[in-house]
Amino acid sequence: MARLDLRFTDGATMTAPIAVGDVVLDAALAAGINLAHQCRSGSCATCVGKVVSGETETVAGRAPALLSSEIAAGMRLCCSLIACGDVTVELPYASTFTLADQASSTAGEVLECLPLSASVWKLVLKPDPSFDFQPGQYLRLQVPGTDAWRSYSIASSRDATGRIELVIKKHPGGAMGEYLTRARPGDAIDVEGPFGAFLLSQAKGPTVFIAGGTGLGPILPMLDQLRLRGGRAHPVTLAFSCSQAEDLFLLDELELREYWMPLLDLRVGVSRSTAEWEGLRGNPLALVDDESLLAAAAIHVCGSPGLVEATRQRCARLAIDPAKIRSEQFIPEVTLAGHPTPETMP
Amino acid sequence: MSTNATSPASGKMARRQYEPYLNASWGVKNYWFPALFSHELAEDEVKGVTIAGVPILLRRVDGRVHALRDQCLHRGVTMSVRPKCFSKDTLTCWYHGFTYDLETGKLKTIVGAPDDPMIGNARIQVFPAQEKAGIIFVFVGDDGYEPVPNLADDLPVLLPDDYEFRSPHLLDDNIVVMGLHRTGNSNWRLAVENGFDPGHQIMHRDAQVILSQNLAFPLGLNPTSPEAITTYGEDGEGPVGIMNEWHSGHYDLVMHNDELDLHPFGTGSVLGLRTSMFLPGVLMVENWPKRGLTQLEWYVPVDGNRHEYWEVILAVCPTEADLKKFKYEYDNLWLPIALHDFNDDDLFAREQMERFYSVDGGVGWDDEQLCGMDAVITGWRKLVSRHNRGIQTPQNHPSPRLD
Repeated sequence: MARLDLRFTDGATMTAPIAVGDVVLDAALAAGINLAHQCRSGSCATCVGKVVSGETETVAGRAPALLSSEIAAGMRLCCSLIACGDVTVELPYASTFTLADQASSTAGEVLECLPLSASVWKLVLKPDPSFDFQPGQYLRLQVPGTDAWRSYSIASSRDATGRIELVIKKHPGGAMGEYLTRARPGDAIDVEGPFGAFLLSQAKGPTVFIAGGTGLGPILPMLDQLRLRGGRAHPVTLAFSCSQAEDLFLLDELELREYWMPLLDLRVGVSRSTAEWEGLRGNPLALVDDESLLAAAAIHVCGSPGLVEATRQRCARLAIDPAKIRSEQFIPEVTLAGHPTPETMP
Repeated sequence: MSTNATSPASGKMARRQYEPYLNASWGVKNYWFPALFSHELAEDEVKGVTIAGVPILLRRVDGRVHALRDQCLHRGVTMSVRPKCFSKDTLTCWYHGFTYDLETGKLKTIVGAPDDPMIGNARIQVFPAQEKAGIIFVFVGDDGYEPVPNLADDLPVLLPDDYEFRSPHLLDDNIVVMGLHRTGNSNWRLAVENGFDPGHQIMHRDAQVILSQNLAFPLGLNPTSPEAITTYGEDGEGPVGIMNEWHSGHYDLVMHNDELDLHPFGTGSVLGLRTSMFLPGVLMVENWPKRGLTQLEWYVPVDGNRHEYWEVILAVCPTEADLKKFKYEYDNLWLPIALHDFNDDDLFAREQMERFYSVDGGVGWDDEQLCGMDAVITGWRKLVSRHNRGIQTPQNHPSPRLD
């Protein structure tokens, strides 16, 4: 087995095994390296790269879509390029192209900032027009007037163009908590992203969302994505709870989804019971009391590390394949210290 | 005597309840839509139609209708504009010879490049197709949507035989369908909402079909209780739709406007006249244009600004004599005075609304001011928002690509 080195414009190199006589594009794709390509027959020139070292041949019987000058410069089409031994190819794009994420750093602007409940605020940003994301992903932002960077999941739908909504738990004394009370429309705000691989499962069948507190944020656009994606609708369960009734937020938005999705079973609860609360009680995991439902569904959990761990443990006890669980956990903003980042588990 | 007992929901929150409907400018998807009359597609003939922005090619082989995406995956050209078929089970693109299997849509060969690696590895979407009562229906929506619902679920509800004033249904034995289709220059939703709008009687006041039958067509119809309106299919079974129960006693029939001293001139009434609307946008008018007939209308989205307006009249004709009489009356009476004179006014009205509601910057969906007569329209919008099988995304630049 020979060795294929792929060099990208950002300096990164990726390596894949390749058998002598094999096609470079095939070897890269087989190794999970998603090189740019389309026709795979030498016509479209999407997979162009430059051979910088190693013996190669081209697939016989094809006229690659390359100019003579390009061929002289070492340009080849990866779909028609055969390795005769170790080979190194330079690609005209960054290694990030081969990944799902295409994060960038952009300048945004505050459109709106308002409290949604006793502890949760909504911050609405106008992102740079180039900013795009997948439901479930998060962004980092620099708290205006400070050096602090914070990470928040995007709580609005992808089609809400020109508008990104974040739901933020306000920690008194924290950099963001302090900013929320002085935020004004028009404030400049630096944004990086999108990040994260907490994405909607593509499995066809029932879906369960378990959201603790502001963990509801990324679930909302995922719910819209699920509603609007093709194919037959399947049952959806959304369990959401906060510690107290006065912390609950965006219940009107949830009720609208419940209205639009006859197959949505919405379960809202509070974990610290108070006498006046007449609804469900318990953390969001406890609201999913139907174990056969968990066993049959694609599970998405977002909230504290404790909630994510408890969900995984409960699923393990039920012998549920861990691959069916997608999770995102928030580490709360610690007073003036650290840069909390959502951690995505595979 | 006009009452205004039902106040339609309005305001921002109510509009959000039917937000999915407001986003459905290109129609709903995963439904059976009429594509052509059966007689419009002869044996071995190829024709193209556009439904909800999706170009669809129809070809009849050995009597059976096949429906494929009418867009070659190679360079996107419309294949039906120059039909080319070299065998009974394939369709060839006239431009570069990409040849597709009619059953599966798979690229079977390329005329001048029979060894291309794309062959066998690429395909275009095929659509389920069937014929019923002289109409070719095509199921338009997501590739691989299954199970494909029954056609009956996408037609007006089949009322039981003993239902009061029941009139002919497309699925009845010995049903005969006569009609036409033409393109209307308005969004399909404006057409739907015109179709069963109980408030626009005034527009039809002078219609030939009203005057010639001496009908006392009310000036207006205002719902006075929830029983004025019946919804169907909310339990997930059968067609999803909404019916105006004119005869129920829960509609206030306005026969006189004192301010203007206006009243209908006629004295007769049509027993069992009832209108209802079902997904994906099919109107049933029972006992119209006269008792014992049914008029159906589809408003099939072509794109965001146009709809294909289907107007048909249904009669049950068990004998040759019945058929002959119905055809004679259709040609000489119902076609000119119902499907044209009367419906021409409806088409005109929709086209007059189009600018206000246009997908190209129209403000109508935000700025309209609905009133008491519009409860059933709000009901329809909410019903579609809640019980659709999918909202079609805009197809301004459609691609044959399959996800």
